[in-house]
Amino acid sequence: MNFVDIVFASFLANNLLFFHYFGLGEFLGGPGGASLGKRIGVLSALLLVSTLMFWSGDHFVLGPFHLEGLRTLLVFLVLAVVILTYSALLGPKPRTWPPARDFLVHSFLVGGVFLVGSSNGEVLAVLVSALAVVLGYGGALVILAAVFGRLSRERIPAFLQGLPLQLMTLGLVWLVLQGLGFAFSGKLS
Amino acid sequence: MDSFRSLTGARPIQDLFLPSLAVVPLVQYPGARAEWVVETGQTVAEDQILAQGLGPGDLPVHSPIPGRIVEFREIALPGGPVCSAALVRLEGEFRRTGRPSFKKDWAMAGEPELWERIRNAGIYLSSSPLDPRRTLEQLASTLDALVINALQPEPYLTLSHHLQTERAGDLAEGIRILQKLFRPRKTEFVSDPEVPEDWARTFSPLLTGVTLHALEFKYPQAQEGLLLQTIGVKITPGMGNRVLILDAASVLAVRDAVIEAKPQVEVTVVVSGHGVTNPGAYRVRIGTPLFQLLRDAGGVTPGDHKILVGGPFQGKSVDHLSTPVLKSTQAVLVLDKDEVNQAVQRPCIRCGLCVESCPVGLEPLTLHKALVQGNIGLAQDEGLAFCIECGICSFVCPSRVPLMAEFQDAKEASRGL
Amino acid sequence: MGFRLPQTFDRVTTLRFHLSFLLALSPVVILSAVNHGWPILVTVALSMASAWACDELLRRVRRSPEAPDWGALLWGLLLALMLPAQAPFYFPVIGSAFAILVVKGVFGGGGTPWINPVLAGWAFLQAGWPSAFPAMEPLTGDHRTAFDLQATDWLNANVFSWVSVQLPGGYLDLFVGLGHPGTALIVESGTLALLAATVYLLAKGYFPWEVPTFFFLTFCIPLVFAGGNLLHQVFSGALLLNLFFLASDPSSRPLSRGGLILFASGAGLFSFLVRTWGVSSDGVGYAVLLMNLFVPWIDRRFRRKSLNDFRLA
Repeated sequence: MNFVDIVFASFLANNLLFFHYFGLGEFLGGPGGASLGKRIGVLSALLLVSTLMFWSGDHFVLGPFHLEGLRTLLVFLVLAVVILTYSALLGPKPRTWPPARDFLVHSFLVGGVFLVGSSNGEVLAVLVSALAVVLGYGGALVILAAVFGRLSRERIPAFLQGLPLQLMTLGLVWLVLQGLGFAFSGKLS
Repeated sequence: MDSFRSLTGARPIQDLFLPSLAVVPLVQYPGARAEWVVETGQTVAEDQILAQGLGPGDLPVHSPIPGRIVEFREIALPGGPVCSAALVRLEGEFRRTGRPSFKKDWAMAGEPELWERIRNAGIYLSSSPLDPRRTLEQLASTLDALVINALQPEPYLTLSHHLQTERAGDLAEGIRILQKLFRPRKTEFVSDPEVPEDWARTFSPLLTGVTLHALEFKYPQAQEGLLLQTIGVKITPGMGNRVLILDAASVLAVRDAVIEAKPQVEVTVVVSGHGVTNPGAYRVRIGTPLFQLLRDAGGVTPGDHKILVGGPFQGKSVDHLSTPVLKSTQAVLVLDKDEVNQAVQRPCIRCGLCVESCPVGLEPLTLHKALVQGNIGLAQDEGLAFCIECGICSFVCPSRVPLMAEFQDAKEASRGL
Repeated sequence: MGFRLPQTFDRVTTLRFHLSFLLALSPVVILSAVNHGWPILVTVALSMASAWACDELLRRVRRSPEAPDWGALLWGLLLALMLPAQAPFYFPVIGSAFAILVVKGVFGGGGTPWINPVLAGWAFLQAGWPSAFPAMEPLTGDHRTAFDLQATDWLNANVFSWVSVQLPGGYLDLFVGLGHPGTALIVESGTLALLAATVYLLAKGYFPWEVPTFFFLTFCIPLVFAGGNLLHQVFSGALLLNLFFLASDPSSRPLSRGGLILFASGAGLFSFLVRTWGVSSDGVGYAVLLMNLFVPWIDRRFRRKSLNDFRLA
């Protein structure tokens, strides 16, 4: 897989996209809305379905006709379906067409996930990875809610409150997670 | 938490000498309102009334010794209030002390007469009725429950223990008198004896219609709300008219007033702590200055001490030892440094000991964090109003964070809002 | 009315608490210095000094009203124990500074950071200089000291022969902390003293027994099932240190008993996972850090649902 795929998959897609759909933005001033569990459920289902759709389109349509270059277009199409369905199920009254800027951003982002997934080739691996991302992210939100709740009671200096504190918190979380790489084919000592 | 029962528990109650100069304050208990009916230079007899209560529920003050009133002086009582006190120098003969006591019958006497004996004796009843606006007489025949609280309320305060051991018969008689006066629907007798079976064996033949409860010592098990819940009396709003809690000393004072017409000029005081050479329970006249009490009880060990009237949790610091014994005095503690264990305040380390020990189930460390930021609203969300101010959290905190003081301040502030 | 305040207090004070830990851990440092030489003491001293200086700085800047406690010193010591014996001098200084200034200072500064500052400082150093931390030693039996040779043979002949078990070579070295090549962690060379310290502190009741018990169980049981080498795993790396001292740090562990059990079990389980399949050299610290992240959530879940209402009227 090439470098661009990796950037999409690991940096943007896992953060900003789910930021919006999950409402982590609640802590950073973003939208609220339906309960966390419901959102996890809906988005999981949508991601699974859309991954399948993408994969099928890629495998059965683009592949045989050697039209891989049109993947981006396929991503847009799948994305449109995903976003419309999501808004219809959970959001406020759906407008007929989401704002163009949001739509473009989301397309590229989610497309990144799919690009990475599809280069893997196996449908099951792709589905599993998509589901794992959703669940892991939802879980992280629950944890972070509690952490920020506890931090709200501490005496934080004024110049650190708000965004700096959240960034530092997330930075510490990253510090923890970066040490937890696993390689399941290693030997026991 | 140690009950320190071993310090004083086994010793019998001893009588102490009379004071040669008695200091009798006007305010003998929290909330007292009285006025003097004697003047400087007047000769007074033993048991003569020195001050009359102002209102129907206020108690008279009797002279503990025969003598002459030397002067009236303003004195500061432990805990702050300043009030007038009569200084009585001992002279003349005794009317009651040293003479055979004259026991009156009560079984045949009518209730109004019994009430009169009690009123004339000026007895201070601690653990008073839950609704202080009504006098005891008004409570009669409306009571659902009469609760005799013979628990040890705090560490060191073994008064109930002594009274139950030495005057079991009188205590039971006092309970019977109370039952006649109040006719409660049920009577509960609660204690924390060392050997529950012995205690039950002593008291069950003496009492009928009384439920005995033997509990373990676990501060603050004597706190009223907790106590009632433990023995199964439901707490409802407006119940101040239907439940009466009295401690053992009060019951005995009632019995003494009814049977021997004794006004309350004498109290039994527990003197304890590692700072006294002879810890124990002592009968002493009100008005006895503390320095005499401590001296006559065997003296104080050398070193720096903290002296308290009352228990370690609810007691008051004593500034000067000429402070007298009052009707409401139940204990005098002389504590040395290794009992006090004071230390300078340090940051909270989140050890969680306060959470483990809070009987209500609060998280004092969270409340502390909220209050340090000045956020009383957050503290109230965490349950500040439920705090019963027992002080265990402050007691166990290794960083000596003044938790209870903070909570008291915050509750005052929120009441003012 | 007049406030009623408790006039007496329980025996334990924070200072005594920290002092006990410091005293209990000093034999570990000494034993390690005996094994590895004096530079160990320098590392420890630098770490503690840096921690203390940063803590004082924090206190001045925040104008904290309370007297200082010795928690910073203790954390400095613990951090030093997690470092390799040959760490360059700036490791302890930077690590402690990060631990105190960032983790403690930014997040409240009052002695209750939400993740263990020692482990955070350690993770920071590992992230920045990964090559300086050695991989865990496999048990090859090459480096056995004379003590190990003689003692193992004697034990095998006299004690273990009763149970028809033979103690392979190298374990006693591990247990007593001898014979590590110079790249080992400081704490690995003081294992015996560490165990003694633990017994002493447990007897005093200074940390909750639930943490080491459940941590140990959830670490060992899967390990045995997966066929790992139990003794080697337990006595290598910083497992013991983490297990007893770092996971039970009061500021970053749950308050409730059920929460503690969950926390300790998670830590043990993740330690097992990380030790077995993880890519970092000695990942137990990361396992504990991960559980630290869960602690606020655990506290919320395990809170008492209702309060006892003892109020009258």
